[in-house]
Amino acid sequence: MNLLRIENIYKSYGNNSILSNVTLECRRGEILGVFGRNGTGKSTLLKIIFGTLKYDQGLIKIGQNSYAQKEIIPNQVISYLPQETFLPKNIKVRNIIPFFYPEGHDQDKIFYSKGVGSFTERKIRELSIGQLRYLEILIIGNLNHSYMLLDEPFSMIEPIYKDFIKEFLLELKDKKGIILTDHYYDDVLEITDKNFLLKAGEIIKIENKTDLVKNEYLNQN
Amino acid sequence: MFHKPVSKYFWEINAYNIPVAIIFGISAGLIYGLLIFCTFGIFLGLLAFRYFKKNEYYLYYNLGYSKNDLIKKTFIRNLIISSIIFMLIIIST
Repeated sequence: MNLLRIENIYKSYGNNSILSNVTLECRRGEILGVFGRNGTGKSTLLKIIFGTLKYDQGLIKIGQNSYAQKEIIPNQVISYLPQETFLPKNIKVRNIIPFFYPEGHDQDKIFYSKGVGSFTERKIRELSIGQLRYLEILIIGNLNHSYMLLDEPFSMIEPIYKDFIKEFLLELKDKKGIILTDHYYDDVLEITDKNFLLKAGEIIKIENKTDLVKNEYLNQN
Repeated sequence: MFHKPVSKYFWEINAYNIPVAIIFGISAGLIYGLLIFCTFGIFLGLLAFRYFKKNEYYLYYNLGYSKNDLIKKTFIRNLIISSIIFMLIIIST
């Protein structure tokens, strides 16, 4: 269970090739950042790993075992934060937490997380984007899954919750492997151990911000 | 089968299904209402859920429930409920 490896992933929509021979490894204890311009396949890649989008060709291995995509969700080895909120809007925060965590001590991990106490009585639809994103990450992050995929966790978030999220992800790193994608590259680079760029369907290793410029993800200025 | 997430999904789907089944039950007869409840009504509920709350599927996925799993469980529950009501009607007539 200590290594998530995706091998030779291919995905295309009609004649448009999105991912071409993408191979990636994430160990527990690592945070991986995946950059890429809009439409380069970042979300596609995460959905493929989570098993909600079929690849054309490829292999997903966790530890020694290969997983068919349809086996990933039932086996509860990977959790996933989609770009748009997945929590029901008309339910109070204090009622959604027991839905994921029936046991009191598990609920307490969320209720007593930094900053949560200030919004437990609010309904999901009344939360700010930052509060909502932070809550979602706390909820899926505390699940027992070995790996976590995050699609744009920092997008549009106010700085205080960005800091809470970064702190939480760094704490989680001991127990999980995390792959995240986001355009907020400074925030990503601050917490990741390895970084990659998706460009023209291929995945390129990135060491720093300069590499992002070299590979035309960022402007030189 | 009676886990909280499964029950939530069951009620989400049947929130659209039950009113339609009741309308059919009143206008065409109880048996038709029951038939709708365990067939077309579920289909309608699935369409509505997909249209209005598509992203909430990720809540279930993160808890280990696939879409097929949820649909199967909802269908079985509705079938059992319809069968029980049908049996009661047969017994009472």
